[in-house]
Amino acid sequence: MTTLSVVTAVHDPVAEHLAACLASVRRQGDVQHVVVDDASTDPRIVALLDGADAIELHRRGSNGGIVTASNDAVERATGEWLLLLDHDDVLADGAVVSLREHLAAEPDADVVYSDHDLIRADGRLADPVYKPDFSPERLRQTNYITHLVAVRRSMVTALGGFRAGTDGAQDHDLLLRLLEAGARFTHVPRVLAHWRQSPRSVATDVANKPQAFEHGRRVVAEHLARCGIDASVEVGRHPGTYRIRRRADPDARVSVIVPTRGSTGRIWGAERTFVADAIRSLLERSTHRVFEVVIVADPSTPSPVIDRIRRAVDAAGAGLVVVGYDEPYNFSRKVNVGVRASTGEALLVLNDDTELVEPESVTVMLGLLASTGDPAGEVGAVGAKLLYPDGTLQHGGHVYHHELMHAFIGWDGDHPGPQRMLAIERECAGVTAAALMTTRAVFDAVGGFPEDLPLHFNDVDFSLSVRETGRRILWTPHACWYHFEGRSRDRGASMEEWSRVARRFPGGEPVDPYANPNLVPKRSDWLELPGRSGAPPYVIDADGIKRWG
Amino acid sequence: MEPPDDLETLRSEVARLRSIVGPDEHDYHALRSDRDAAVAAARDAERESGRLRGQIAEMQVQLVRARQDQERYQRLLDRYRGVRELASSAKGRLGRTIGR
Repeated sequence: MTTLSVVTAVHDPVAEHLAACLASVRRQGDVQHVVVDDASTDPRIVALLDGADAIELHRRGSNGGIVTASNDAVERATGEWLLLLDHDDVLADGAVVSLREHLAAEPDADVVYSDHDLIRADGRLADPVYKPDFSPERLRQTNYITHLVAVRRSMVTALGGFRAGTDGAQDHDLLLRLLEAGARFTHVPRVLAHWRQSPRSVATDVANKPQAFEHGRRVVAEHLARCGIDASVEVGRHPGTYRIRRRADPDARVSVIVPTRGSTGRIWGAERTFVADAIRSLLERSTHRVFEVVIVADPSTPSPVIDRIRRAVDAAGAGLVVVGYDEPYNFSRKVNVGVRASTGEALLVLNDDTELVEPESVTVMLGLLASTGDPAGEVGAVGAKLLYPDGTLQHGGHVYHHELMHAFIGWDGDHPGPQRMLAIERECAGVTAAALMTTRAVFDAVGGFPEDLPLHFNDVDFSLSVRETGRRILWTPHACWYHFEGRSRDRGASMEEWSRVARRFPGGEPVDPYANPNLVPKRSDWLELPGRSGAPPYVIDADGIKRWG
Repeated sequence: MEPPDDLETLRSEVARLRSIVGPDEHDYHALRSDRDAAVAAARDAERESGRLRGQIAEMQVQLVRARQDQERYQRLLDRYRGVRELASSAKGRLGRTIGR
């Protein structure tokens, strides 16, 4: 049987919380529980530990901090696996059984993490966090893994345990170093740990540990440096997140592939020629300046429109290629024709009904694509945040959770999303081709866009092909366009198109490793299955007052 | 030194064209500014309505969450009530049997 050691560093927690923590480990059965008392001063804690059954207690003579105490615990652990448990958190009943079952099914795993929920101040369990399968880019932006984490002890000791000077972010640092070491991360999609919302915890109020976020920022920056990624790291707008600004090659030639038929429409009360305004907005606003614009134009595209584009391209010092397309409409074929006529190493497939919002969009996407040698894995495609004209979200990454969908479609464009997933760069099952960047090498490796999907789902198929090569697909909120969707062509998918793309999935049913089986199928808004939301009708604030809503 | 003839020619042409366009040139710029301001105002107004739509989208999820949880717990409650009634009925029958 797989041997597990639970390791817990203790320093003056609330006595009842520690008691609950210890009891939860006792209920698991056959595990070693190594508890290091980091010089607690509260006599109730001292007495509780002295009287506790089934723990291996080690007392430190002086307070060394969470990192030192945790390393002391690791040194004394004997199990094949370490299970990290904070002194006020609680293991779910059956957690260790679930872990052992998972490890039996995944013998090559090196790190296992589970879903978790929160223990509120009134003791009620609430707010479950249902996580995706391993997402290294998401892990860099925020420690989404948190609790529960089990790690192969040999890997932890090989890495030298927790690092000094990372207190408050020591778990995040360890996870990032495990990623660099090639550890295989697996995920148990069940709540196996309850994370205490004590008044002193970060779970309750991020102001409790401001230094933790600065340590986290430094931990991420050092990780990127070790990975050879040229980037700066800032504490993010949303607590617990980090904004990574990768430096992209300013001289990289980006071929912008724009299929069009030169249509017009009314947006914000004014007439616009979509393709001309899309290109003008890109060339005028983008911080990246080296472009080759490739227009794949239907014969119906008016020549004055091409002239307008030419003037904008000349003014920006960019290159222009106009490719005539005189065949029945086929988006995939138009893209492939455009790519063949292009010369840039980076390819930006861009709908003609878009307008650039974020000037750094192309720079951000280029930076993410430059992933050669990244221990997290090569990036094959990058998608952007797309907004409707009213500023609501049109594309937050694809979700293939029993249906093919755009994540959080219709939500406010500035909403951070559950688990802040709309505020960070993260892995996705796919991204829309309305604004998609890839490299020529990846494009050629997957055979371009599927021409047997002329109208719909071609980007889904392309995304699946990219992921089948072992590459990641990332979505970033820091690249952003308006997308006047459907204004420039007719809509509606056919059954044939649906059947064609559904065949790409096992059993014909779309699956998404970045969703979670605890979520309602065919929804893109992370709604939990009935009875699994844990959403309380009220919240209890730090003063113990009930607030409704 | 006198400017070259072609420059003087160009200046004359510009003056001639300006005399034709006249105040319309100013009107065109003013109209264009008005148009740009109107587009910006329309964009802001649409953004405001978008914020409300976004809130509604989020609230709809909360509503569905509440409804489906209510449905689930109502079913559990009905099942509990059904078991209670069954137990009560069985107790009654047993009582009558013993009473005989």
